[in-house]
Amino acid sequence: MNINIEKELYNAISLLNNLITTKKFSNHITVPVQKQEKALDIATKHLFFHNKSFGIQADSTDVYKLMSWYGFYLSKELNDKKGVIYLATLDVLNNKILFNEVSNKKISHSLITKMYKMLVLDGEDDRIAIGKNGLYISFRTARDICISS
Amino acid sequence: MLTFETFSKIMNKNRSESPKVNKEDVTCTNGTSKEVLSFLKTLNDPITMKQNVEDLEMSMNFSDIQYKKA
Repeated sequence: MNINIEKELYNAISLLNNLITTKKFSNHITVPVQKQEKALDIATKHLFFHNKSFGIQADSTDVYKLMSWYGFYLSKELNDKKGVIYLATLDVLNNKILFNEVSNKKISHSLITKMYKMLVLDGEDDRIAIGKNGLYISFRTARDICISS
Repeated sequence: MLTFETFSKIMNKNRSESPKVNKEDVTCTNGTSKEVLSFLKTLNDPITMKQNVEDLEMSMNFSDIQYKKA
């Protein structure tokens, strides 16, 4: 079964896209729509390739994957050295997606800050970076632990 | 801003062009939970979307984050 949840997934991506147009974020970065489209294209190619590579049968598209990888590639497309897009992505994943899934629990602020710093170093110092898959699996792990506990 | 039509077009193109998982190769299933879907559905309402964006903007304290030096 493949459930069509495209509008809901679009809403998740729109949360991020709307957030980065707010004053707090747009003071630091400008995001052309072409970059959003390019990032979504790369992220979704990666997503479907990932599912094939790991033998994952998707009943629907995993919003944690889509959000993590869209945010990651958008940051790369914008050459966002300050990590503003990573901040927004972590904000949406933690305060909205995870929070609403697991009865109002979240990853701690100190750990989110550590993840942010590791993401910013991605591509420049891979020995201490986290990468797109690290970002995704961090939230999936948090989700699974919260649900099972 | 990225439109739903463009979002849908990109998703469908990449889904259709990607190789499918063979039944014998399936190791697990995956997807978005009903709890998250329920929340995401509420964002169809523009006012709710706006409120959630404002919440997110408020929750992020930039001063707590130490930017990497450019």
